[in-house]
Amino acid sequence: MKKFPMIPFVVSLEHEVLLHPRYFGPNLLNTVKQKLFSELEGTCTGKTGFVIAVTTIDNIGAGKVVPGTGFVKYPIKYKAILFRPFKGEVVDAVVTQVNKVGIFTEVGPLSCFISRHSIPADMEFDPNSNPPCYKTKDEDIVIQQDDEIRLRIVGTRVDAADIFAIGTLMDDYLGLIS
Amino acid sequence: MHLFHTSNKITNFVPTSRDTRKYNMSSTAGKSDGELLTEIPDELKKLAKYVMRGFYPVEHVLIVDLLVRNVIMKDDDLAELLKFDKKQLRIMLNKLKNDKLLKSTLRVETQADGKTNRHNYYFINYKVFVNVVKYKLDKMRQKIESRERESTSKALYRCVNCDKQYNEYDTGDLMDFMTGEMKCTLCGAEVEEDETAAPEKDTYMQIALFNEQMRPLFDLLKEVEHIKLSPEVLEPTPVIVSDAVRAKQAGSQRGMAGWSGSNRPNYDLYNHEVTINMGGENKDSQENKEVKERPRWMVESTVDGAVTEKETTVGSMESKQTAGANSKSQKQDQGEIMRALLVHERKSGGKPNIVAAALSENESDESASDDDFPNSSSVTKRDERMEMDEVDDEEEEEEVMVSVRGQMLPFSEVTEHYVAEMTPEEKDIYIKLAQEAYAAMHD
Repeated sequence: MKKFPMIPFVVSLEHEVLLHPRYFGPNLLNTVKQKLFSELEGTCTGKTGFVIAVTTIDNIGAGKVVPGTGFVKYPIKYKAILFRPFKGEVVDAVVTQVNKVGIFTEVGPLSCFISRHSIPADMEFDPNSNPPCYKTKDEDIVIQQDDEIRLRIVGTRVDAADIFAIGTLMDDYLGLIS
Repeated sequence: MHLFHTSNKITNFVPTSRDTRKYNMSSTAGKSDGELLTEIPDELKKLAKYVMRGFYPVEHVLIVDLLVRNVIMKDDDLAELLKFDKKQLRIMLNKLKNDKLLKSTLRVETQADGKTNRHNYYFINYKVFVNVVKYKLDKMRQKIESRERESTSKALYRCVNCDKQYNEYDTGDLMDFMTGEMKCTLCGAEVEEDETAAPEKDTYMQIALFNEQMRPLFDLLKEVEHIKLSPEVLEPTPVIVSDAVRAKQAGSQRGMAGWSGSNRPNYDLYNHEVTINMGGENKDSQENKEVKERPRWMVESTVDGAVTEKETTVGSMESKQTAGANSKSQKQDQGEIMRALLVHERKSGGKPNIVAAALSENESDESASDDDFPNSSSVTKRDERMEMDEVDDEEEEEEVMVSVRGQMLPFSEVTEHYVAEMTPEEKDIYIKLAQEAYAAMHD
């Protein structure tokens, strides 16, 4: 089972929801909330990181009709659980792919790559095994797909709607979680 | 290093009498900021020694060790004790000064013979030293961390076909999860690791290694954190040790006089103190010589040298001032007096010559052999008269009266003719007066 990331945090944010006139009616505010959830949850921005879930909606401001389109703009204050990787953070991850260049992992919504150079020297890539894995000489530790490992995040890169991280296994207590 | 560490612990538990005051101050002071220490605590000294031994070559270590032991030293003293070449020493001292570990003050000393010596006095300002050490350690740590960080942004992957370079971060984009291979975004060819750009294996562990190795320094820094030093300790005045060092080294240095070229000037330094005394003596002896010479010179023109010398000595003994030859018992007084006389001699051109001429002339008359020197005496007489007149005009002395056969004549008018007429007693008086006048001129 996927373990959840270690340090999500709750932040107050603001968002503007544009509502089509077809939803004007008694259920207006509910629709607005639904729209908020669908628009935010599961997304990621460079500023906020990953929005895991919206917890509460603090305030829905007065809607303003946007001239020209007829949509109504609602400014909404809400609280959401965010997940953002930080440099130096230690997280639990799941191995998605084992490669000769390194190990690809996922930390919740975040993808993290561990380069071969950040893997302890005593672990070698074994392409012959099925599935391919990294393992120590005495086969004491074997890391293969779907294993859970603990890694430290060394750096992050933020795209438009995505965050990518680089990790390492070179510290104490990192590696396969038995 | 570990030995040092344990011994430090022991001394903390059992303070010696020497350390008691410092220990009490430092331990009870603890977090209080009021105490100003006037002695350098041992932890500071140890810190200085540790730092030097860890980061500097042995010559610099020795220099700082000496300055830890002696609070402040002159560059010459350092050169003597360390037996370093002065130029090399200066290079090393400048390096330490540029690293802000040492400070120096310039002192201009004037020696008795008028020469001014400019000396650099070097000392450790412990407050600055500690700050510098902290700063540098911090810088080192930052450098290691940044290097570690940069290792992730290195271009590690390269396309086989088009040679485009990729980062570790790009692997997520490049990786084709189906095939398990990385595909170049430009040309679609395979992307491989770039062997030449592979990071060194040990960069990662460096931060841990750094912390491990610097731990004794960090501990010492923690210990000295609360120490407050009084301003006199932080900026010592140059007088303190140099004399003590000199006194200590004076004995040993004499033996080493000709040992190396660099030592020789120091030997002269030591000798110099001696030469001051000798110089004084020399002056005295020279003056004595001059004094002795003058009577001889005065005597030269007389026939009977022995008589005049005796008389002159007698005359000088009686007169309070000593113009003529000096008896050895009165040497010291005469030394001072001679100096004064010399000064006046230089001032007033050839006055003694005048009086000497007068005296010699008198002596020649007295010896009743003026036939031998009639020309010279007459010549000198004329000169003497003119010069005497000049003297009189210049000095405006009162005319001393001399009795000649009962007649009172002004001193300046006494000619050989009158002198010949004088009775022996009168001649004695005249001689005495002449000598007094001569002496008086040099007051």
